[in-house]
Amino acid sequence: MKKLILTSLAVFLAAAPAYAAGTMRIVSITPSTTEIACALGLEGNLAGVTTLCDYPPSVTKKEKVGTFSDPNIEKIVMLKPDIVLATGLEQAQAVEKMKRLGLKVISVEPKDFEGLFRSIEEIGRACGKEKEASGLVGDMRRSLDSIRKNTDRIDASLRPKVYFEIWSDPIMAAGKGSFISEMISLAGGINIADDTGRPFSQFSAELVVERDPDVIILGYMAGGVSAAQSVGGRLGWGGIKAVKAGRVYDDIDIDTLFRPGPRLIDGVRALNDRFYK
Amino acid sequence: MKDIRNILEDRRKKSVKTAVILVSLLLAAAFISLYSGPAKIGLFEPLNTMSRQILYMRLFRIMLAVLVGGGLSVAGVILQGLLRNPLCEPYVLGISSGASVGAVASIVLGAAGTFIGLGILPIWAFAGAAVTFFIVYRTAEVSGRVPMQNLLLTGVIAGALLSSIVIFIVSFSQQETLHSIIWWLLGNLQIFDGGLLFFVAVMVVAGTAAAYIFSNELNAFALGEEEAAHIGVDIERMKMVLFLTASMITGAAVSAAGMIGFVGLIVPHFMRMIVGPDHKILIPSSFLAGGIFLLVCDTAARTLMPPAEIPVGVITAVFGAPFFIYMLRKKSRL
Repeated sequence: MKKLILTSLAVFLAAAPAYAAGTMRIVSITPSTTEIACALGLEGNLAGVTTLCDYPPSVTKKEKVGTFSDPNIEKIVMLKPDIVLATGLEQAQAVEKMKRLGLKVISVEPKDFEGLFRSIEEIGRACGKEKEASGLVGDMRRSLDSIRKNTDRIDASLRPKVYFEIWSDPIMAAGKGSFISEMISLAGGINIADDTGRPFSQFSAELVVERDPDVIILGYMAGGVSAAQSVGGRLGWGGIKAVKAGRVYDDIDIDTLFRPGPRLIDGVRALNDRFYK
Repeated sequence: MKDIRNILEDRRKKSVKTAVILVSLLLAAAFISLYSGPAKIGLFEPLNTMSRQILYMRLFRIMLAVLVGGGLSVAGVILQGLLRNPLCEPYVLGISSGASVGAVASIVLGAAGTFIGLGILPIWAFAGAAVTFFIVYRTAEVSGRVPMQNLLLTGVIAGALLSSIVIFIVSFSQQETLHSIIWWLLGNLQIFDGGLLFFVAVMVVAGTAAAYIFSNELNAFALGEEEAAHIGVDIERMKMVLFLTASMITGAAVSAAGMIGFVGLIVPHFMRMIVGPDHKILIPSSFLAGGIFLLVCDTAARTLMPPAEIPVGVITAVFGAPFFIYMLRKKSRL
């Protein structure tokens, strides 16, 4: 009995600093988990972020622990975090190293909106913000539902065919299994690259011409010239419907399309807006 | 005297025969490639606006494949001839890496919104190739002469350093462009810009013509540098001219198609076995064979996994590496 009390006391003492509100120290090594943490009201607890974390803008003043692809493990350890937020694939090695050093790492890698909701809840649970997490997920679900309510009514034949170009050189498109593909469909469009079967791949340029999309979205800034000029000026692409109608867009905030965080909802809204302009 | 005339006559006949075979193979490959692709276009189907556009795109891509494949092969011939080492190609001297540093830098700056525009990429790639060549050449120079061993070693080291610089630029660039640079370095022959194609065509054709004009000097180099000097070749100046030619061709090829390996290594090697070491025949036949090789590889790259594409550098490696090992083993048995 005495042993049990001592053990639970030890456990309590060890856990107490981590769970006392306000004193928990979090290091986030991906821009998306930084956004999620801030949306859960944990901005004050962030002891370190990466050089790429820029939203909300105030996090740029936080201590930097390296880049997304190359987090500085020594620096992270020195910051004595109670929890490190990371992502799967690209950071697997760093996550493994940090775990071996005894750090508590929450590694999330959502592939779709349901996965993102689970990731937000997981981060909420680990950081003592369960209520906030379920509130945030509820808000996001309601926003998606309200967009879907409008797009569900639209007949498939009236939905715009959409070509989402991730990068131009070589041309890369988002296929099924990517957030982009799911967002296009939630926003009421039909992704012409769904049949690639991979989230991201080099896409056949002549098939873009053959499939003749109604809307083209660029996942990057065209730079220098207008989006319509940069795409329409390509050899063979002048006759595409989206080009002729001037419906080539590069004005959506890229981070609302590519960062799996709360702002993806803004991305879906922006896509919906471009599809039904 | 009659014997020499016979030998020359045989040589002429043989080169005419080789040229006819290679040109017909090239035309056949181009025709098959024109009518292959993920978008189905029948041979006897009447053309509409869309299928005409798609055929245009394929035609430009075919032209680029031939130019880049031919150009890289000629650059390989030049470097192998000068260095008297069949394992030389633009990569060994760091010229390809230099061109890619220029190209990657322009992508990163373009992504920052300050420098994008047509014509920037090839200029940067060519500048990267030429500057690399110049630094390598000057570093290797010892009291007014450039010994081959120095040049080779300096080139290898410069290539390694420049590859690190590419990785450095990539890892400090924005996340969105990072993926694409890696893909870009694996090579891609889709061309959207007629001006760029024209630029590559001029550079590659001019470079190949220059190499052809100096094929007697290249033949002299095969005897050894000192022997070439005895015959009256201004070796240092000739080396300068020919290496600059090779870097010009490489810069043009890398700027339009990224880094495509194995072409400059395998094609000259293979052609040397068929037509022999005379550069008068080797240079044009390597150009044609390189064009055919890359055209076949690129047709595979864009048709094997529709609607996705395979980076062409992967295809050249898959075809090229086993072939190279086979040639190496066959040669060592002889």
